[in-house]
Amino acid sequence: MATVRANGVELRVNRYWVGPRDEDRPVVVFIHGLGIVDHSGLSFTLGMPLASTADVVLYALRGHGRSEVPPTGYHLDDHVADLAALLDALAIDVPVHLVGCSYGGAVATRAAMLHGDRVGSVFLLDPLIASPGWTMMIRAPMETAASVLRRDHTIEEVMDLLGLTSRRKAEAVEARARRFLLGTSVLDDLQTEPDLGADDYAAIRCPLSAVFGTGSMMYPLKPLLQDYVPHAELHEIEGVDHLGIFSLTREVGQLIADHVARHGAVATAAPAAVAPIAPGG
Amino acid sequence: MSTQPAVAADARAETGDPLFDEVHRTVEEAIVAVVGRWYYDECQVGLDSTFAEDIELESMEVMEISERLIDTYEGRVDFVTWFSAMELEELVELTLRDVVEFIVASLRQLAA
Repeated sequence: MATVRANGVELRVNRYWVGPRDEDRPVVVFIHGLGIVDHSGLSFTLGMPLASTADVVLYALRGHGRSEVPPTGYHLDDHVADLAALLDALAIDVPVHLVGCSYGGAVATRAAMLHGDRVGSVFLLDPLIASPGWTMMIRAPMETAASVLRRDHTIEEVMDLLGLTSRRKAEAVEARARRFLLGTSVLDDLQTEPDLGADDYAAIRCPLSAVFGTGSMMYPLKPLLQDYVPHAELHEIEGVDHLGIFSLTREVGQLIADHVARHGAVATAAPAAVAPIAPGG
Repeated sequence: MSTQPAVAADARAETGDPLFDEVHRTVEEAIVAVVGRWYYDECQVGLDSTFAEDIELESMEVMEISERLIDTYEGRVDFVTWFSAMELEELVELTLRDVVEFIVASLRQLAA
């Protein structure tokens, strides 16, 4: 773990590489979702397993995990600027393969629009697709959480709201949520986020793959992504919701490994058992 | 825990083995550095305590502990490959004993 200053913000970064250092490998950068999460879960489940064939970078977005929590700068383009500055700070000058998860998918696709020369490919895991009014889907639950935090409440309410059984975890999550939702401009920034549309997506030239859970709130966005990026290769996993897809680490990990192998000239990892996944689109 | 590629049956150790006890202390120190002594003692953490459920650690805390251990045993213990081979359920059920045994076995293999 390192702390890297990028775009004026201290970001916590993990970088994994297993095996000999004297070989060229694709650089894979994971971008996590928005809220009370960071990159640590993804590090264990999807990042480390790629580290024998790729140079794997994961980081906590501004306002998340152990990264700095600046009071402002939570528009999509701020996160993209952080990413570009992070690549500079890490002296990564080859096109990278972005894996965007949930809101991180919007960051990855926007990065492919604005920095096409730095993005070799994009893989989206149950992504949020930036489109007209696109932030409403995530703003609503965040506004609800913020309203609970603003009024008198008990830790038991927080536990109920988040489905937590651990009081200690609930207290930690509440502290982070208070800092993020009430101490920053994130809610205002989401509300004033510019719309994106077909003209913006037309700038994406690199290969793009995505997988959606058919039970996920993101699933209705799949045809929109296909419209916006006709060359996208889309997959779906039957009956899985937004949280559930992050538990299917073997299946999703194999899809990511296959994607990187195809587009990053990485040696293909030993094939693992893959559950049936219907190619979509 | 089935995913312990470096832990051969004859490499296993137990309390009373000086290397096992030393590694156990190091792992404890890494956890205490992240969660604090008061909480660690309150949880009555033992070798068979799980990180996720018994000590109720968040993933970012597990990450911090693993980073401390990666730094401590840099070049001698390949945590990343070990974690990579685990199913999600195995990560959730990971115990102190699993970690200590893996480190001990890795150090013994290196010394052999």
